[in-house]
Amino acid sequence: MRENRNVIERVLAGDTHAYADLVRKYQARIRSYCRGVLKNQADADDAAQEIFIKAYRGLDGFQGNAAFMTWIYRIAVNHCRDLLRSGSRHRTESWDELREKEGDSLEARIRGAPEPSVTDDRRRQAREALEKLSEDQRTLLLLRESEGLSYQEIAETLGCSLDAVKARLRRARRELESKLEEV
Amino acid sequence: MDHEWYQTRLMEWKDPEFPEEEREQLLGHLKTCPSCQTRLERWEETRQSLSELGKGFFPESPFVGRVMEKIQGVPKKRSLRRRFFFQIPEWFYPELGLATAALVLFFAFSALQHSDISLETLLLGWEPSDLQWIDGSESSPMDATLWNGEV
Repeated sequence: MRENRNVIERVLAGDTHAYADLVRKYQARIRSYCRGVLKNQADADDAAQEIFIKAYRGLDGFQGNAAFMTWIYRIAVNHCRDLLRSGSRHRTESWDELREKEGDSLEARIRGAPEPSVTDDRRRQAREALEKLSEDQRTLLLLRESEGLSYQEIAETLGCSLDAVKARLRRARRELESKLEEV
Repeated sequence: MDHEWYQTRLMEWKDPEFPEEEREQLLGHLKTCPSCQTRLERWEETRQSLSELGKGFFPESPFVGRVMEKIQGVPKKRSLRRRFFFQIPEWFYPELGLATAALVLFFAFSALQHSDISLETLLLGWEPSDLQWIDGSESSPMDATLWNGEV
């Protein structure tokens, strides 16, 4: 956290190039989150770029009492929400369509070998069930299960209490489970 | 704790925040409950699927380069505000503005009440030296001209 603070101070003092350290450090997380929400890699990368530029513009508004990571996740959550609401990113392209179009190159991009117990069918079902959830529940599950944020980090990112995160996450998981039975 | 309670907690057991004591109890229950075992296995598959959703190989250099390229033309906003009002929370700015305006108005009216300058003088720009006494009251040169029938 202190390390980030130093980088931010350097950027605010006029050393624009220092910002590259922050982009380098968080780009995979933010792009991964955007990919989870927007599905299409190109759209996700565009969104991630816009998020980093927004963060740069608002860097002097960053209070420093929150972690930079949760702050930039908050920008990402709001930005992706705006994109989905404005409809500028069409959500019609399903995961399967994307796989069909991109074929092996997409598979090659999947990090790490999949767990043997998780079949492609199961992944598709999880994706479809996730899409049936409300935007808030989807965001919550992505931050937790995909991005691995702690309850506290999610609370800071979404600006709500720890208890609210626990309750909402429990509801979202149960909802996902019931949607999975429908798929 | 009954079966129902364990069912609601099944999906949380891998969370680092899940209390250790409850985790032990849950594991004890799982050994004796096939339906909870099946449910947990299904959830673990789902969780694994979710963890892979956004994951991919994200080459770092072109992305960082593109962001930095775009940033070169982006002005940093509000740097002055930060320099001077660093300690003041953002929500306080409107209140600060209103308080300043109220203070200025208060001093302006106080000054008016304790001076020889009338509101008319202040608003129309007439100097006190221009004023004349006509029929026992203060009036401007234009009033005097009209009074004397010179126009």
